[in-house]
Amino acid sequence: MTGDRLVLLDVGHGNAAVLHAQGHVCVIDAGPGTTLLEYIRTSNISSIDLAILSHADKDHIAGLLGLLTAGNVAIKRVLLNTDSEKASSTWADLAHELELHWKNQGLTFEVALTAQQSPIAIGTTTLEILAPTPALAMMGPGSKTHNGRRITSNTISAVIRIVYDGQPVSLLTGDLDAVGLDELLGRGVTVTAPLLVFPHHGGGSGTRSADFATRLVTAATPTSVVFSVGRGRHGNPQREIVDAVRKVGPTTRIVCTQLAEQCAAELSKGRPTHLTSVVAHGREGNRCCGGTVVLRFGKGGGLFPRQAAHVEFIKLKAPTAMCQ
Amino acid sequence: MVSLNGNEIQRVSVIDDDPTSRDGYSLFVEELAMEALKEGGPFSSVTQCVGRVLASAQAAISDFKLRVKNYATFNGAELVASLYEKRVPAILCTRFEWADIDQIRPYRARIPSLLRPDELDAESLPLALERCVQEFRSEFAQTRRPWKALIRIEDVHSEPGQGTSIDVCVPSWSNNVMIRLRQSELPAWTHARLTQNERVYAEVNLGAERPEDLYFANWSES
Repeated sequence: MTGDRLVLLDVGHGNAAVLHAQGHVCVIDAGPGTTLLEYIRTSNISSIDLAILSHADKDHIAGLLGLLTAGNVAIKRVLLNTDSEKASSTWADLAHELELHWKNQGLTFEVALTAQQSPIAIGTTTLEILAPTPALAMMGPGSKTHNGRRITSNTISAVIRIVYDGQPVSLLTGDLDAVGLDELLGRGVTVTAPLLVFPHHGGGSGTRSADFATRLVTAATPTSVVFSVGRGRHGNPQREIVDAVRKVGPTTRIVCTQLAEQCAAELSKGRPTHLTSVVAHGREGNRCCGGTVVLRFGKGGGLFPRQAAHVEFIKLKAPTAMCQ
Repeated sequence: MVSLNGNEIQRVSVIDDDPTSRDGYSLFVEELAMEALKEGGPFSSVTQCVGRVLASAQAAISDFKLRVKNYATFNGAELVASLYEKRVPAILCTRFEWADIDQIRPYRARIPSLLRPDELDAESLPLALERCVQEFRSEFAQTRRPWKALIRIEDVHSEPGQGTSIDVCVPSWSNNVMIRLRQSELPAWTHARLTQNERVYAEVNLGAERPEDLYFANWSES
């Protein structure tokens, strides 16, 4: 696929999105494994203009470490936030590698991913950083909000709205939790977008999940919701979240990157024909449901895989599908 | 049927100290209309065995533990890796244990197909050979493609008679799994760098799904 588009890679449990805009490439979150590496390789991408990490969890950052060390692609700019509570060695390894690239390879490396950022223009596509606020990022994980609620790594997840040609096309929410959502919606920020990448892979949000999903989907009014899940990992997406999404928008299309065990206890053997041709972590083991999802912008655009073929697959292969 | 350089593979050497295993593997070969050459040994060197395979067959299946009853002076990992260098597709088929993996890993970059005996059959055999042939053309399966990766040294320990071992972590692969490597198998320049929390680099097949499939090659400082 070519043209301006957003590619939501199936990396298993984790997030990795690649935005293509007028020949520029932006990576938003970089989940683990080699799917992102393979995508960059097979797409002949030699340069990434911008990489954004929504927050410091391993399933959102490990792929950037892979990109930095693989050396087959130049990364020009990285935007992220500090997280002093994140004592993971992967986070430390990433800091080590970013510092090396900053010192030796001219990487622009900014620790300031907040709503204070001016919209980032990439061709006719714009990235709006809607959250976290500078104050929330400054307080950081491990501290508390002014009303005593605990701030975690997920709370300060960057929320990014992608706007194409003046129209919102997608809302990426990292692992945003209830505290972060309350803060976001409390500011009256416009979060509407036709495609919502649901926070935390459709898993726990730190409060009643159904209420969280209801408030988010009511505010964003998406026509499609993507859950970036790894089959057999953490039981995502949670049924109450899927139900809440369906309740708010009965016609909202739901796409899971991989086939949840709750939807199909067994995997079928036949090769699926509905998937996009883009690399997907679950393809080899027949674990894909929607697989890698591509949103093409502009005329002739739309969401791939196409809904009719995907629904047909679900009817045949997911006897206990939550989304139908 | 698998082809090599445009020619179909017609004969497969079966190398195992156990005649029963040789017979068992040969059945799968013959089921695919290929001829199985059951090698009775003994082999005094890898070079001798490689020469024997080159002279008579276009592919091989080898057990790992070949030193039993003086069948050979080397193990199957050494043999399969040597055949790989000669562009002969070869399968290492063994009931391996973790201790064996430590011995196999130094050769793993040149062993595309490691199967347990119960995984080898008439369906998996041509796929395993095909995987070798593809790598000879530099076409790697996602699970085998090498990527330069950061290696973090987690622990260094010496045991009497065992030499020095290094536990490493490959964070781009998994942050939770430690891989044990023998210092003697790493380039000499690395030895001074092998201290806890030190970071070096190597080519690693980051798409590997199992720890036993990971290989390390082309170590570098930066």
